[in-house]
Amino acid sequence: MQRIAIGTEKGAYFLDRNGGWQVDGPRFPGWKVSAFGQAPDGTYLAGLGSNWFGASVHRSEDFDKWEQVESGPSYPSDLNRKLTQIWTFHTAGDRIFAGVDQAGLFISEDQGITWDLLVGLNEHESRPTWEPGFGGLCAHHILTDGDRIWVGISAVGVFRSDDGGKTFGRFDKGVTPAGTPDEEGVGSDGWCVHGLVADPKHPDSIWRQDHMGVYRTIDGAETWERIETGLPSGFGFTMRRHHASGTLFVVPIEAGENRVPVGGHLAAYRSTDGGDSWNVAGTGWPRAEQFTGVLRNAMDVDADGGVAFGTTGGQVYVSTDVGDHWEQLPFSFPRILTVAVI
Amino acid sequence: MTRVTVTLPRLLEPAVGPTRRVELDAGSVGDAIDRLLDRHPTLRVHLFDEQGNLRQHVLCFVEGSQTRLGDRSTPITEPTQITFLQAVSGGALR
Repeated sequence: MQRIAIGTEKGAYFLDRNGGWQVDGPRFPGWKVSAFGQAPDGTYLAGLGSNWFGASVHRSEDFDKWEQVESGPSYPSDLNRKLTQIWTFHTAGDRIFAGVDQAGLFISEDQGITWDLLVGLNEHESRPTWEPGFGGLCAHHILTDGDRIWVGISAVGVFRSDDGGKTFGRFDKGVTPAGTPDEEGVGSDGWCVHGLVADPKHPDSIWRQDHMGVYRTIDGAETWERIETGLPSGFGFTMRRHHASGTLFVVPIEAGENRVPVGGHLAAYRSTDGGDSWNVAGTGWPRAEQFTGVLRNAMDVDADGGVAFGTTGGQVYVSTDVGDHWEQLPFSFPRILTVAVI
Repeated sequence: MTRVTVTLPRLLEPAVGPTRRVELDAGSVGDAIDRLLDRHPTLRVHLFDEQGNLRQHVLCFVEGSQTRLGDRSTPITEPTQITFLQAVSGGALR
C-alpha cells in the first residue's frame, strides 16, 4: 500500500506513504468524487458528481493530470432518466463496467473514453417497480465471471446475467426484503443490497452486506444464507475481501435508522472462515466513542494485505497486515464516499 | 456575427481547465451555446440534462437577464455577456 485515494463529498485527496503519510489535494474541489477505477491499460478513472452539474468520468495516468472524457455514461434522451452519480467502476478483461444512479450499467471497451448503455439491465421487466432508497436508486457493485455478471442495486436487489448482459434475472432468495414503501422508501419487492464481494477463484461464492443483514451464497446467488455470528449488528454498508487469505471485512453499523457504530465502538470486523464467524479485526481502534459511519464503497483492500477505510466524519483508518493492526491517520476530510488502495 | 463573452463558474474547472471566460462570435443565443459546446464539449453534460434542458440548479444570464434557454433564437446584435452560475440551491434530499 503506497497510496490511498480518498473520494469525498467535496473533492479527492491522495495520501502517499512516503515515510509518513502525506496529503495531495484537494483535486476536483467542490465535486463529489464517488468512484475510482483502473482501466485495463492501467489508466486511473474517477467518477465525479455534483449537486448542480452532471456526473462525469475523468482519466489520469498519474493521479496528477486529469482529463474529462467527452462521451461519458449518459442516458438517451428518450428514456427520460437522469444520470446523477457514478457509483462504481469494475474492470474485467478488456472491458470496464460503470454502475450509476439512476440505476443502470454502462460499458467501455476503449479504456474508459466512450461508454455504451447495457440495455439488458436498464430495460429489465421489473424496472417500473424500482424505487430509490435513502441513498438513491444506484447500481453500486458489479461482479463478473466470464459471461456472468452480478449487479447490486440499492433498494432493489441482486441481478445476475448468464449471457454477457443480454438478459438479467433477480437473485435474492433467502434474503429478507428490506421493507415496504411506507417503511424504508423501498419498493414492495425491494431487497436492499449494500455491498457485494466474490472469491475470484470460486466466483459462485459471494458475500453480501445487506440492509437486513450479512449473507453468503455458494451457488452464484441462487440461494443466500445469513452469516452474522459474532457481529454486534447485521446492518452495515461496506464489505471487502483479501483474496489471498480469504479474509472478509465489514464495519457493523447499529441500524438503518441510527447509522453509527453500536455504542460508538468503531471497528472493522473480519472473518477468516468464510463468514462462519466474525471478530473485531486486530488492535488499534479508538478508545473514545466514534459516532460516525462507513459507506459502501469507503473501504478497500489490496493484494498485499493493505486495508483502508474512511468514515462519514472524514477519518481514515489503515492496516498494512490484513487487519491485525490499525492506525487512524491524523487527517480529517469531508464526508468520505469512496476509498481505493493503490 | 457579434462578439460574445461566456463566463463560467470556477466549479467547472475539471471540465474546461482554468478557463473562466470564453470569447466567441455568434448570431444568436443558441448559436453562442452551440459554439461554446463545440469548443468545450465536456461542458454539455454539466450544463444540460439528458433532455437537453438547462440543469435544474444551473443559472444562465444573458446580459444580466435570467433565462432557462427555452427560446434560443434570440438574436445577438451587440457585444453580449452570457454567464453561467450554480444556483444557491441544489443538494440532495436525505
